[in-house]
Amino acid sequence: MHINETDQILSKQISHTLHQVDEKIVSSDFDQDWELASHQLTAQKGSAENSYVGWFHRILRPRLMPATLGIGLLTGVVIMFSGQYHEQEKTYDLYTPSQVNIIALDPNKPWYGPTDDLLQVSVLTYEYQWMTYTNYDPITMEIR
Amino acid sequence: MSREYTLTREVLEQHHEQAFKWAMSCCDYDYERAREVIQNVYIEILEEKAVFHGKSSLRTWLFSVIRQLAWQHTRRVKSAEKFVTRLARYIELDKYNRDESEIHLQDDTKRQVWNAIKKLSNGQRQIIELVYYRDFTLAETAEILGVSLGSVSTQFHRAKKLLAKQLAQLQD
Repeated sequence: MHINETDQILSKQISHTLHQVDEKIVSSDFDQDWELASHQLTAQKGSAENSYVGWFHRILRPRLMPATLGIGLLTGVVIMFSGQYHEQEKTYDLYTPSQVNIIALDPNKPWYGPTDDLLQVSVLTYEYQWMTYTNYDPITMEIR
Repeated sequence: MSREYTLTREVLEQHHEQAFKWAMSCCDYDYERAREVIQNVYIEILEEKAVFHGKSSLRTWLFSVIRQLAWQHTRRVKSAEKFVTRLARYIELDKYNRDESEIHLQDDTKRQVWNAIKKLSNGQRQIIELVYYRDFTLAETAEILGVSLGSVSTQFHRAKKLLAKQLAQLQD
C-alpha cells in the first residue's frame, strides 16, 4: 500500500472517530457562560474596590509614593552633608606622618621600636588616628 | 502597527460550540473544568487582557487562548490535587479517587482508534486532533500550541507513526 494511501485511511479513521467523540460532547450554554463570566468580572471589580488591597492601590499608594520619595531625598541630603562635616572634623584631628614618626621614636613610650619599617609606621598611624577619635591623647595616653 | 478588533458577543457565540469542544479536549474531557476555562476566556476578552489583532484567523486565535488558559488551569488543578492527595494520605484515607470522565464509543473500530489516540501524549493528541479533525494547517497548529512549526511537524509524524503501528497491530 502506498504511504499516502495509508495516510489517507488513517486520516479518515481519526477524523471519523474524533467526530463521534465530538458528537458525544454536549456543549455548554453560551448565554449562561457569558453571563457567569460577566458576573464574575463585576464581582472581581467590586471586591477590588471594597477590599483593603483595593483601597491601598487606589487611595494610599498614589499619596504614599511622592511622600516616600520626598523623605528619601531629604534623608539622602542630610546624610551627605553630615558626612562632609565629619570628614572636615577628621582632617583637623589627624596627625601628619612626620608627627607619627616622632611619636613612634619616643623611647619613653611602650611601643618604642625600630621605625625603619614603613609598614609599622603606617600601623602606628592608624593606631594614633583611632586614639584621636576616641579622645585619647597619643602622647600622654590620657583621656583629653 | 497592529489593529485591535473588538469581539462582540454575537461573534463569540458563533464560535462557542467549537471553542467549548476544544476546551474539553484541552481539559482531558472534564466538563466542569472545560466550562471554567471557557468562562475564563470570556473574562480575559471582557477585561481586554486577551486582544485579537487579526494576525491569524479568529478561530486560530481563540483556540490558542483556550489552550493557554486550559494549561494554566490544569497546572492549578494538578497542584491542588497533589495537596488533596497528600492530605488524604495524612488523614489515612485508603485511596483518593478522582472522577474521570470517560467517553464510550459503540463502534468497535472507532473505539480502538479512540483508545490508540488516548495513548498518545497530550501534545501529540492535540496536534492530531487539530490537523486531522479540525482542519487546521501545521502552521496554525503551531500558533495555537505556541510551539515552532518544526516541532509540530516532528510530533505530527511521530504521532502518525505510532497510531499506524497501533492500529496495524489491532487489525492483525
